[in-house]
Amino acid sequence: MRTIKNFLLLLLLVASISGCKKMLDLTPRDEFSPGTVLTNTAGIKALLFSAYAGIQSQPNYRFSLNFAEVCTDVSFNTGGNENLIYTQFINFTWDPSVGQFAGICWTPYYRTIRDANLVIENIDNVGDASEDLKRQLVAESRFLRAYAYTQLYNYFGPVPLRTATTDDVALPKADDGTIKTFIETELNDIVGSLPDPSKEEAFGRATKGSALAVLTKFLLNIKSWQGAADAAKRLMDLNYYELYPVFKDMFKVEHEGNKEMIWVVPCTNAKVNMGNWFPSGAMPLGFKYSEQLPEYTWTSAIQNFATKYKLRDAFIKTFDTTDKRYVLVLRKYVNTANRVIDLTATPNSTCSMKYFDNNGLKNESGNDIPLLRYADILLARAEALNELNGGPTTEAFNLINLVRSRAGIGDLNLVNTPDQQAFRDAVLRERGWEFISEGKRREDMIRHGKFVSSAVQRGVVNAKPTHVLFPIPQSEIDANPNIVQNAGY
Amino acid sequence: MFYKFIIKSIVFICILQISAAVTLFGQNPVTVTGTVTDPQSQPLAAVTVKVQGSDDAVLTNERGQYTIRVLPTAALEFNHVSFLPQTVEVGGKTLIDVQLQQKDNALDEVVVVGYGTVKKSDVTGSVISLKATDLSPGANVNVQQMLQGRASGVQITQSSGEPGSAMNIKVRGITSINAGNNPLYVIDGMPVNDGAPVGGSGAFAADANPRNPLNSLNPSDIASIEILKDASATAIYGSRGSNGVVMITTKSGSANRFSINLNSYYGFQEIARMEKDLTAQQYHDVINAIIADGGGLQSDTVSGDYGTGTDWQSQLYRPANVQSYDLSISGGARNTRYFISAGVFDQEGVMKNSGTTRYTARVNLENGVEKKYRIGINLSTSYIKDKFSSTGRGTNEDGAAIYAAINYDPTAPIFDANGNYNRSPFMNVDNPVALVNGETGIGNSYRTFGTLFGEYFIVPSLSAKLRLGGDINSTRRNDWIAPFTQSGRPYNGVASILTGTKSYYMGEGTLNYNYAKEDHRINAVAGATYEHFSTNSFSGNGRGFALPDLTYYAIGTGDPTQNVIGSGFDENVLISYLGRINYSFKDKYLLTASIRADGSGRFGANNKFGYFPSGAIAWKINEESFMSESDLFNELKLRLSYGVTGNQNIANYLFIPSFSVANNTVFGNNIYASIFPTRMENPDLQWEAAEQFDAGLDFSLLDRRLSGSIEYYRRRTTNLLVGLPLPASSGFTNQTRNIGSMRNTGVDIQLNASIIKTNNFSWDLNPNISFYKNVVLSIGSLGNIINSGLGINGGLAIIQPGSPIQSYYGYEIVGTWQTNDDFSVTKDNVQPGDVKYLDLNGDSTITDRDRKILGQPFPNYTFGISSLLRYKQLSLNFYIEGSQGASLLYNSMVDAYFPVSLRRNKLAEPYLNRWTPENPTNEYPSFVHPVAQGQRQVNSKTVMDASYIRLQSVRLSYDVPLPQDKRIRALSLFATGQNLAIITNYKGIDPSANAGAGDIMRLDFSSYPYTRTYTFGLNVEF
Repeated sequence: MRTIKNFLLLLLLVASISGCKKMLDLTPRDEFSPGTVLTNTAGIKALLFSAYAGIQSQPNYRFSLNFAEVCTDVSFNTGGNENLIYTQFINFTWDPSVGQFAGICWTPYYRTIRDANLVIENIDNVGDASEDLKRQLVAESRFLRAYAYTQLYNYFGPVPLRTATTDDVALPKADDGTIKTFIETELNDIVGSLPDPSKEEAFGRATKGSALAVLTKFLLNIKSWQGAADAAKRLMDLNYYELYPVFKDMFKVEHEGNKEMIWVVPCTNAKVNMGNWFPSGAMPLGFKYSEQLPEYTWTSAIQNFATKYKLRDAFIKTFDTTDKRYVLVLRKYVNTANRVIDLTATPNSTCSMKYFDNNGLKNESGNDIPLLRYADILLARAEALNELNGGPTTEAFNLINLVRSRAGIGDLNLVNTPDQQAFRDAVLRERGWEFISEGKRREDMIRHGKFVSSAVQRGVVNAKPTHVLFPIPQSEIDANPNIVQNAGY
Repeated sequence: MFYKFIIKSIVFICILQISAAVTLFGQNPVTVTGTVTDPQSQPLAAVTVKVQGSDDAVLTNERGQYTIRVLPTAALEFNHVSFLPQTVEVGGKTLIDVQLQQKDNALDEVVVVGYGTVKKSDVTGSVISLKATDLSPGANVNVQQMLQGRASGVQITQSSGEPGSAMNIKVRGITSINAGNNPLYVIDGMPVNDGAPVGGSGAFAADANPRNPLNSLNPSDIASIEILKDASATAIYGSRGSNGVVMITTKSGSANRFSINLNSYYGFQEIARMEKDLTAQQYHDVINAIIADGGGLQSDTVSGDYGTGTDWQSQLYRPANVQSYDLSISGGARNTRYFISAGVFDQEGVMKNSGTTRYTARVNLENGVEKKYRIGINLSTSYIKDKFSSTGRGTNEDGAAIYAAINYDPTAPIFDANGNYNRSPFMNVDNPVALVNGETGIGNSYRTFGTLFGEYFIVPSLSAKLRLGGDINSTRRNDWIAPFTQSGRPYNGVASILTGTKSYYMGEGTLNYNYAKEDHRINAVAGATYEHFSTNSFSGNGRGFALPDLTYYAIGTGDPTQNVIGSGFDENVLISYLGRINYSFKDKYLLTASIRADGSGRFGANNKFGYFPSGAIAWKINEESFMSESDLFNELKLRLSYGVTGNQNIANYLFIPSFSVANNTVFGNNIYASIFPTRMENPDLQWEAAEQFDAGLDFSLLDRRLSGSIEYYRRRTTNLLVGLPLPASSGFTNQTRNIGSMRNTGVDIQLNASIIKTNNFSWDLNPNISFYKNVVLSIGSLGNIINSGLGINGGLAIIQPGSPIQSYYGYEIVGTWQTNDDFSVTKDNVQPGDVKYLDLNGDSTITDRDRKILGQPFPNYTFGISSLLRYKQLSLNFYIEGSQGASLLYNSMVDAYFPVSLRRNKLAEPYLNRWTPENPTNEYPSFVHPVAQGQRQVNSKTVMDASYIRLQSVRLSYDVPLPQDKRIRALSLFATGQNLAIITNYKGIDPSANAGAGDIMRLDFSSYPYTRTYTFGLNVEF
């Protein structure tokens, strides 16, 4: 009988243990709880860095750069898996289902916005931070959020404006005025709370310079000429930034953080997925070295991709061959079988060697990717002044000639550039030569009204006026009943 | 409320008990004695001698003797598990000797079901029962291979020829989109985890085939396998039952039979089919012809003195051996039975540097007296050593050896002039031989699992049973990428170590009740279980080895700044209450009802407990008086069942908001860690629910020469667990929610025919066929979900209401543009020789909107035929399986249509028959402008019909005639061939191939080759 009792007791035990619903309340032990992350400096800073990470995403920048250039007169692509994607940009056959619209152009920025909103909302719960630090962290968050919206606006036009984590999951698009005002007001508001250039904690964090540069370019792109000119002036008046004297050296790993670089995606070859992957696609098939750029030598440690980022012949033919920027357009090289390959013998095959790292490891090159540099601001103010004054002013000439003289090409003046339209064209040409592989061409062409017409001239039959905006990603359309697709898609 | 349920059950049972005891009083009993013997007249111990209609029972002693007090008018029932029961009227006698007869009636076999057993003839649900002898012969590394095609409604495919890789098994098709479709495995009463402890792959093998965790079970330890298919059988497993349940019972000893069994075989494997790519000469001719036609650069011209070139695939492969040795000892004495076994299995892979070796040991021990008590232990332990070669789904620079071999320039030599691995400047994939020698890994897996149980019969009809079980499955995988490979070179070697341990323990208490009186029989079980699951993982990788000699054995010898480490832990708890009652009236009308309540740590706060009821009725029509006239049917049983089962096979914690480590951030040249919010809260998260209706007819006729079953089922899965896409503008891209529904219907037919049955010659034929139909009914507010991945960009398969799940979705190719075609009908930039796609929406251009469903990834029906011919001591067994209606996307055909570069090698057949003005075929294009219309990878040429008929095994065996009463009881010799022949239109290496073993979505991507295997063996019993 005792055994029976024991059995029954055990059964009862099993039943009573199980009866406790509490035992089902499990929390992940390899993940942080919100309470831990959002109440102390270490947690909130890690969250802020996640907002930065959304913008940095180093390996993916090769897509961002190519999306802004293969659909323009500048560049071209063949081969590899990436070509599947770029072909649609080359031929203007992209549609909302292109996964990279979500993966590269949309989602990462909204992750940054999400993280920035969380920092802003929770900063008052952080016990161990000084008021100064809190102000700075909030300013950085607001800067990153505003920057993310400038990028989204650049790709898609007006988008849902999420300024709090408690906003509805499915937001409609904000109207054009609201989002423009938001970006401008936010950036203006926080300039004062951000550190002076070079006073930031580490290169790559936001400064007064980054905020003013982002503001300048946003206002320029929305053709708010006075605002753009003023913001550029404020940046110049920081009296910190300058043009780097030798153009081709400016992008080298050893010259990172030079005074021309205002806002960059810092890259390093020291860790997987933390480097610039563009060079692996830009260098030609079997590249070993080139007499044209003797300082660059491929080592067997460096990956050479199947996909090839190339420049269009019609574009490189516009270069003055003495232009010091032209040397970065690779035309002839020696391959790993020690054969000399002349890239000009095959149509559209030269390539951009703006970024190269002799110490690159596999896909990772250490070259930072410039998002905004001083030459861009000088040209932006020159362009804005030309628009504001019905033609080029002396200052406008001075600004563009600063950029040209570094490139070793002759000055512009009222003789060779007599009127507003001539100056506009000159700025656009200048920007083309200056910013190859920096992802500026699409927005420049759109601002100058040539994005579609230039494509049509190249023989792209599909190009339509509505292509100036990318489509809202299909995944967003599918999941968000309140959003409306952009016209033409 | 479940306390109450249990208490009520106990009270109910006690009341029944008392009422049964009361009926015993009456007349004067007498003492009856006797001896019970077996058919050989040997005394039989442990036979239950029971007074009919009462609970009084005794057991025979070692000499087979018994003594019992009984009323002179009563009857005695003699019961023993291995023999037919017998009933004898006392009729005033005091000495009753009985000889029991061997069981041979299939219907009286006992079938294992969840938490109990039932007589086969009393089964009300859909249960397939297979004994060891019914399973596939030959070299089987795991239990699923033995089941392949044996059971109707159970579809088993081998996704890769790699030794020990996971099998894909579906019971009655697909139930779930995201929560897995594998059945629940229950070994000796304990549910076992079928997840691999190391989920990811190592340093080089991106998305490699996962390992099969059931490799640790030695197939020759298996006594029987029951597959529970309908809801009435599986609902007792509640939230884990909807994909079916595979119950595995391991062997046990028999009381009076000491035996030693030695099973052994040795065999050879050869590659069944290799991909046919261009030879060096064909490659030279075709590539240069395409360049001449304007399809490539002059600088890509194939030239040089390449001789016969290099056949890269054959450089990777080798003939390989397989061998297996099992020794088992079993027996029993008094009340104890035991089975002890040890085994070694060794399979070399046909690809260099791959293979698997397994060592297993098992002890099954049981002590008990029938209707008194039972205690026992089943314990199994194993050590598996795997060797991994360069496999996986990486592309281009990250491609593994097979990918490289089918793409590499066949005119390039293996080594350059200096004896180093040659690298063609035209190739960015690595030299395949460098990869197969330079990317290597080993895995060590240790798994021990078992249960300890005790059952006590409070009274003969009521027992309480406690079972404790545990399972520890631990794996360490070491990978090395040597510096002489393209990807190892930058870091002078890359080493990675992944470890993982899956731990599980459980406790289970059940009460079992049996009642039989006159026309009524009741069998009931009620219980509660507690189960705990946890996974621990650690991963580390090192690179930058100044001296790369020590590899992963000293991962710390790399550059410390380049180390990457990570770890994880998760756990889950499942608390369950269960109950089932079987009621039989007049042995004609059967009724089963069951319920399980599952509380799971995986569900949200609002849905912690799920309830899974089921019911079934069966009618043994042959027992009716109107049928007794006819002696046509030996058995005719109609079954109907309905029930709700669940699926909760999703990741843990998906309903909890939390923060995880995000991507690193770089400032200056330093790297900073970051943290991001992992997911949004979902307190409503719960199990998937599958309602299933099943109607079946079991029959046996012509003196049991023909038997079988026909079943129809309809299963509707609701609350599908789907990673619901959220608007990414919320900051989150998806959330696991319960949305949508899906329906599966099907018919399973199984026949067993004994066509010839004479003393010296017999022929048994067992065909089965299963029809499936799957349709997605709803996926919530989403119109469709298009899934991409597996190296295919822009969508591969679609989930949309009204269509089968994960249907291939792409373009239909209607031919090739011919010279005289009217080109004004298209706005696209096409030329003669280009692919002509179907312009589905008639807008004169080919866009995403011209996609349609091209096929489904699973068959319309599968079938198997097994045949056993026996002449005297010689027997010939063959087994054919087939599948009709599935499609498969063949990646090498994708690469043929849309080559990454012209200089890569390609499938021979399309290129040798390509369109030219002289060969104006509509079968293939010219391949001169492959991407002119974009890369439409999923199309009607790359998605192929993967129907097949396969001669899966042939076995010839000879039982050596032995003199009676010698030491050797049995000796048999056999030869087996596996995967001997296949009939299929599929052009890849095998229509079952599915690299990456995606659960539903299928892609044949650089698959590890399948083998033909010949084994020769010897089985001896002492």
